[in-house]
Amino acid sequence: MSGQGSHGPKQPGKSFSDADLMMYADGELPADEARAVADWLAAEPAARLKLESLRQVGEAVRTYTELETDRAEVEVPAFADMWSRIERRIHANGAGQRAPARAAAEDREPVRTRRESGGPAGWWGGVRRWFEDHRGHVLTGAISAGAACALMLALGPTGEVQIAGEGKRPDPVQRAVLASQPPEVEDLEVYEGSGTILTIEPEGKDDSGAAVIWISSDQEQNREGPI
Amino acid sequence: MFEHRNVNKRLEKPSISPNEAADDIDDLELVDRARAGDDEAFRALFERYHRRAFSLANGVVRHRDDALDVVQDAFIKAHKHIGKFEGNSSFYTWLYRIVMNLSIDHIRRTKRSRNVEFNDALGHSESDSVGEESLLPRVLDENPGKSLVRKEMREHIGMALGELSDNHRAVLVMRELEGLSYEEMAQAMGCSKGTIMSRLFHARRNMQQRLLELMGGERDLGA
Repeated sequence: MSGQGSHGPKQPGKSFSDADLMMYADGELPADEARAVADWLAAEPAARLKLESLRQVGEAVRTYTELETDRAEVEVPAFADMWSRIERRIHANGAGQRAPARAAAEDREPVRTRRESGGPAGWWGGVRRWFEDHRGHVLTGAISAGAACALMLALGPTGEVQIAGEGKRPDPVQRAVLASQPPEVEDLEVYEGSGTILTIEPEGKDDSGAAVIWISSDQEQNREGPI
Repeated sequence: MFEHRNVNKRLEKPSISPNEAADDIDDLELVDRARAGDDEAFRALFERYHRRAFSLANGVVRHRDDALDVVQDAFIKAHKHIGKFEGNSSFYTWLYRIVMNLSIDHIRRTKRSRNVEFNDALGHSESDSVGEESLLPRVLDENPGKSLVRKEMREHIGMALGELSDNHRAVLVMRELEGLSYEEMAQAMGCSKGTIMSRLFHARRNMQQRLLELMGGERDLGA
């Protein structure tokens, strides 16, 4: 085997390398050399089998890749939504006028984090889209609420609370930490997922309650794995 | 006679037609309109080529969500830089370069190169040599294209493709899906024509070997 294909016409009767054969199959040989290979192939059944095998490999790769695309089109919801995501990103802050840093950040944003266009319509769809957009804030809120709850539980029963500094009214944060009731936790079953509501009751007339809604999407959990 | 340029004709057709008129307009006209701010024109280009771009990206990165990310990023990049498209090549040629670059970047970034250049490591990664291996003078029992409708066959071919190194798979997919010349692939991958040829030779040889192991061969004249 020549290793990298021959250059220039071969002498009649000479055999060709596998590299020549591959170049012939790929149409990479000059016309005169391609004719010489074709003549040689006519008398070489083993070389013809090699050529046929190359063709089979090519067909396998092409057909497999096309079938995988067909399957993705049907099985991957994000496929159908691709244009709407592209359009949204193109028009974010005006087409072609995005600040470079923001444009770069947006350009790196992966498909799987943007499911807003594929969600249900109506009120619930609006809630879900809001949640997708504010996931970070909700997460921060949930962590803060969890930390506050943990602190309250660690401090034990809160029947009588001694506030340092006699006669001095505690500020709202102190009261929330030291005197609040444990939060109520409620589980939800929601469309394509599940949810939890943590409710922190107000501790007095001048206090206000808080609620944290945590929603987990089944789609996120069941995302398609590698092929 | 062997088919010299195996361009995937099926994928050249637009997957979805936004409207009849868009189908009748050629790429350069659509590019001109997109450059002038006509988003419908850019959408027509997207509809024409996103499926083909996905096939290419998915063939290289072999993960559907990742391939969608690549295609999405490629179109956004194309839109952003469409003013720089000079029309020296076709719009799709320009687009597939973007897709290939993003696919290769993605592979590098995600460090999926677990079997990086097994064959190249044997001494021909950056050389023009195809080494001492030879193609096998054997063909498969079944026509792999027709048999692919069977799940088992798909799995075998998917497995064989997955076992190739990323660079070997990239050149094989580029060649078989897009029918690119060695020179075009060398430009797209930023390496020499000889390296492309070496990678393609070993990719095919390894595919041939693995498919014969998995699917069986009917005629064996000895390697």
